[in-house]
Amino acid sequence: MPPQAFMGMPPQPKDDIETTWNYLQQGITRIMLNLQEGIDLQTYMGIYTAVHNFCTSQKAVGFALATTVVGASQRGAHLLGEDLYKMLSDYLTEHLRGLIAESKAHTEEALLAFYIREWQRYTDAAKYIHHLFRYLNRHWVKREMDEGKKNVYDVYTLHLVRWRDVLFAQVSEKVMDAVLKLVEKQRNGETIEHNQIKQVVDSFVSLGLDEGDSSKTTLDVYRFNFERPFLEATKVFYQNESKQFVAENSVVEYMKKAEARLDEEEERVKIYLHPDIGIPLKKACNQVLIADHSNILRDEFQVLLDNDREEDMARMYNLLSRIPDGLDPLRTKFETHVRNAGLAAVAKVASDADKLEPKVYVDALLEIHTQYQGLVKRAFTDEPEFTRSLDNACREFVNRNEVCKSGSNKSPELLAKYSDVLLRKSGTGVEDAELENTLVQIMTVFKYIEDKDVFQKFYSRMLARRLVHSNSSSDDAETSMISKLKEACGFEYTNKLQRMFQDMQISKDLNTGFKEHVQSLGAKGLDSAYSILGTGFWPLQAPGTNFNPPEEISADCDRFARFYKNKHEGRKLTWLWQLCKGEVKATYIKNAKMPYTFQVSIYQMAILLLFNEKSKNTYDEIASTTQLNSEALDPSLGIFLKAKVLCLDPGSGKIGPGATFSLNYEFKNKKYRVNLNVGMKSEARQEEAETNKTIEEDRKLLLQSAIVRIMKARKRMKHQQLVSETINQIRARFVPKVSDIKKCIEILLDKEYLERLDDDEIGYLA
Amino acid sequence: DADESKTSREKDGGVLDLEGIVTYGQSLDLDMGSYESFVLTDVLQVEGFQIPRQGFVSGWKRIWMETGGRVSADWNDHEKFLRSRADLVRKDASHFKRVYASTFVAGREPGSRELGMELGLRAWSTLFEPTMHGWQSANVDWYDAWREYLTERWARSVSKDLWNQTLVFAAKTLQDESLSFWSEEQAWPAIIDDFVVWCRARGIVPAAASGAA
Repeated sequence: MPPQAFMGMPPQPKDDIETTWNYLQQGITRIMLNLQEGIDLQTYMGIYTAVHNFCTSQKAVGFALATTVVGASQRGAHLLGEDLYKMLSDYLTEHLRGLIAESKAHTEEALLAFYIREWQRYTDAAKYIHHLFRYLNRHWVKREMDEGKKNVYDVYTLHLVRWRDVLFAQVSEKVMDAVLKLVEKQRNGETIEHNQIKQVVDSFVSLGLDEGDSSKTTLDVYRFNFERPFLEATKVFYQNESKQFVAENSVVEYMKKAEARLDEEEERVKIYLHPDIGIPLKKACNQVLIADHSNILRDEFQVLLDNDREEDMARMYNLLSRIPDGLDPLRTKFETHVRNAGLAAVAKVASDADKLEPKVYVDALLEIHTQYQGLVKRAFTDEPEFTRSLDNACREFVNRNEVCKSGSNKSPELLAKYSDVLLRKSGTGVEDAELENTLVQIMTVFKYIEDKDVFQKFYSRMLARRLVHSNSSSDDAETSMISKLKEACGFEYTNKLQRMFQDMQISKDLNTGFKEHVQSLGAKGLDSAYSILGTGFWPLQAPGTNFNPPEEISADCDRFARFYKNKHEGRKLTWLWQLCKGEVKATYIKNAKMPYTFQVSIYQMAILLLFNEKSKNTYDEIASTTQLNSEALDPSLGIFLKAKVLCLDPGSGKIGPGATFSLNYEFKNKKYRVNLNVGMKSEARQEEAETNKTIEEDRKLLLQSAIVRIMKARKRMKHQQLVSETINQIRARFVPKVSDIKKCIEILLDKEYLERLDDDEIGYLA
Repeated sequence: DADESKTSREKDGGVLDLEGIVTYGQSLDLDMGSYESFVLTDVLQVEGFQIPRQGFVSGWKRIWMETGGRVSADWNDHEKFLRSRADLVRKDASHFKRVYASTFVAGREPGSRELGMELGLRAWSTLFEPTMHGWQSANVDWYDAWREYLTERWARSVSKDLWNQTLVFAAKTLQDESLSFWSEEQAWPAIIDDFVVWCRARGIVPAAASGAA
């Protein structure tokens, strides 16, 4: 090519290195300094060709090199490449030294601008030069690298390595100082040119060369030179700031500040930092902004709880959840607080534990639960550990509170009674949806009850009463409640309840059949209804008194008994007279516009019917005809006297032998239906006491059968293990005391179901 | 012979009763007010403080067999044999344990599973005498405390388990009179658990160390 075409470049050199390099250097310098002026094709091709020619020349002229090495003649091209490579490298070093000198004229932002500008120019040029030296890259560099030679890079990488080792080593700290100053300005509220920082970051990252594989990069250079000082500066900045802020402001204000700062730093990463710093920066900020102040935060928590500062608690939760183990002390405080709140709520309604309305009690428990469950949901994002603390606290105050002092069974008892109030037919009609909601709430408390067996006892007694007296408010509500209990405690827990319910359904059909049967006989029966209750499912006992039912009644009963025997041979019927009731019409009363109807128990009915024969009866006559003992007879008569249905003859003293009763023909009442079948308070008390007594007995049996079951499976077991295994098996029903379990083990030892072995072991005797 | 005359106290059905056993033991030169009485009941495998004639005969016969005929049906042999057994109680712990265990069977009423408390207390006091200083350690008279505690509790009888465990417990109290070996989690009978609590409440032993809590 004609030399003039090279735009003032010297003529294309021959193969000798000096001439070649001189030629190349001019081109390179132009690319390095004036790339923006552009480069023409001829120059480009000239340089490219010069590199090619040099590398392919066989003669090694000009440089005294190690040509004496064996096999050097084959490696001539390589050796020439090495010269070129070294010259280029030296050139770059020289260029960069010049830049270092220049950099000294700049500080702070100007230095940043200088660094970025030169970096940009240098790397742009590097890309060109890399292409121009492609031949060197492809052959000499490639072979050197293939042979595993260290410190030989492709030309572009060579540029970066030189930058790193020459300029960066000298300037990076100053650049970093400028960066940090800029960031501090921004943290102090000034607007900054953050793009500069981003470019510095990019430059630092580019310098992370993997020495093992030049096609890969590492973040080591960036981490050491950028991240490390950046994190350090951040810590110092926030340490100082937070220390001062806390001294001058309230904790709540500080939390807002800290939250804002943390958000800000996160934003900073997104806008101009490398994502790699995200996690360590967060950690550093968490440490200085939260962990270092966690004690004053935690101390404030109680104040926030006491004042229901939900938003601030949520803020505190968010902050402390960012540091390890930050929330544990909060949970402990929360648990204690909820427990105390529960205890206080109960103490408020417990002033008269004997007269305590079940609803009032359960509402008090629920109110606290609802309140703090809401807090957990809204402020603590329903976090499982906080939920557990809530559960622990609720379990505590539900099972051990002021009311339970009078008897540990009080909670399940009152809860069962409240369900009874809800499920019983009552004047105040509760909407179905509302009833269902309330049942759900009952289950909330039920979940916390430890003595589930006590609830079961009371519930089944009251269900029995509702069913037998058919004053259940709705079948749907009853089944809904039973299925809820079943879901919570399993089939076994509700088996009997379900059977009771079924018995009532079956009895309905049976009564229809019996009515048809009576009609077909053409007999004139009573308007009667019978319930067949399976022994073993119902918590009921045979009557505690003899009873000789009135003829009218017994005739119908006998007819029914025959009807039933016919259907189910071999079944034995026991009459539970104490549960029977009926209505009698009083046609004897003078001055009554229409006859009164008395609702009475069967015992009362038997007594009243005696007055059909004569208007006076002595106590002894009544007792001998009805066969009732005084426990059954006296209360019934008492009600008659109180309601003035009967009168005690003057001079006959109290109810008892020797007294004479006469029918009151002047009876008056506002209502025409008079309910005389009212239970006595003392009866209810007695029933409660009885229920509690059976609970203790049942528990002993339950424990013993659990122990035997475990030992049967395990054959031998350490005493302590047996105790804890027993607790595990029983816990769903009640929380057994260790001493009770030990006593049951002793009973079984005595009965020789178990034996003592060596070393605190217990063995099973088949 | 002598044997015949001493056992002539047999009452209806050929049974030697308590009084008979005592007289019999004394005539064999045993101290029937001490643990030696239980050496005799152990040898003859007494149940319910009665020796049926058959048991009496079979008891000695068994000894005759066990000793390979060394102990013949001779009065002197019997006396010598019982003496050696009584000495063995003082020397050999496992033999003592055997006598202790058989005492429960010997002392309970016929047909009963348990030992009457009065008899139990007397048996403990005599059995603990020879080797356990009557269940006393350096600073504590355990037997005295045990008796007072049981009386206060109105305990009426001793179950077999309690009988056996009391010996284990007593041995431990002599090694460690602070009762630090005890913890509620262990398998002690409830009545012994309560005894420890009672002792602590009474200041007989120092209140619970932290480890036992």
